[in-house]
Amino acid sequence: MSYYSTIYKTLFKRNSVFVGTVFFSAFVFQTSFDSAVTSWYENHNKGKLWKDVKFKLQNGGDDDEDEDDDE
Amino acid sequence: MLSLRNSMRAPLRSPFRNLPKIPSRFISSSSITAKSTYRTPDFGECIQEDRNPDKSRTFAYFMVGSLGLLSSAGAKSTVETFVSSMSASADILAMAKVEVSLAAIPEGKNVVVKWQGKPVFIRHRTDSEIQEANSVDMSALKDPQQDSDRVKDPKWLVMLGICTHLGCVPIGEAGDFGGWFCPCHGSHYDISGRIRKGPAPLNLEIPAYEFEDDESKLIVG
Amino acid sequence: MVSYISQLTSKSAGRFNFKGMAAIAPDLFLWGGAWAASLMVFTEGWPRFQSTLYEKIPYFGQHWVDNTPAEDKPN
Repeated sequence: MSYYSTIYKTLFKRNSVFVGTVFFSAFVFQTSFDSAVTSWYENHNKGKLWKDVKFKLQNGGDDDEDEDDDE
Repeated sequence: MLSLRNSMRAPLRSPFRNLPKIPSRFISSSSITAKSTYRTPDFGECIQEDRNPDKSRTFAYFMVGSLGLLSSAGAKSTVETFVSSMSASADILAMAKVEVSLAAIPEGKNVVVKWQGKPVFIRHRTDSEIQEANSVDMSALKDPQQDSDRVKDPKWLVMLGICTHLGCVPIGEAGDFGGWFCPCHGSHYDISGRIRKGPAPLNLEIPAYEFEDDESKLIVG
Repeated sequence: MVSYISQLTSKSAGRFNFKGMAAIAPDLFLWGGAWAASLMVFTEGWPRFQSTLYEKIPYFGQHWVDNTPAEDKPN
């Protein structure tokens, strides 16, 4: 039995399995797509995001705002 | 020329006159293929030797399934966009709660804070005021409510500073009952914020609030 | 009567009968799975479903775990 026949018999032959496969892969697809886009975005904007800037600001990056607890 | 004109005119006179005589079974629309005289050509020479019909099927069904996958993910995304547009946005959520440090309010003093654009009255009541609020006879009230139902801690009275009559902001430590007085139409509220005299129909409203850090901090909202 | 007709008509309550149900039972379960998967697609962004179900999926559930520090959240 060839490769294509195996795929056809396991996934597409029964309609219920076909529909279930479609929905399950849609579930997997949308989360992995979301993860992929988010990681691309965060990589593309590295250094400009709040989580990167936060520590820089907290460690004395701003001289004009804080008045106390800095020597 | 004349014969041509005659033959053109002929159908105008009687459209069915020149129809050929055909058997009625050829007019029937059922099972056309049974009557077909078309001979299917033999494509045998063009077909691959090791042809696997499952290959083309797999490809076709994969495409159908991919379309289903993308449409269901897109449908879900569309529905989610519409549904989540109904929930409160981040700027509203950020304004939803107000923190007040209660340590700065001495006994017997009022403080007004702004919460969601509305004034909130906070009063640090003295013991005599608490006693006064509890000694009121329920039958004397327009909107009967026990003082204990209006406070979480009798020391702290927290309520919405909007007159229940027409929405003015009452003045603190004023009026005939030692509580609040609405200057717009003369509603008098007592030390528990209950309506005692004047046109207002209800007691001053109590917002949702909580005490934190051993009652040194009040969170309204 | 020929057996294949009597098999279809015997012991039936309307169109449903035990033999018929037993024959399609595996397919019914598979349809149930497909239905559950479609529900999963549409509840993926629902916070309560995320915290009770999807975060508990091994490895894959990391997608739904919120790693935002507490001081960066609005409330």
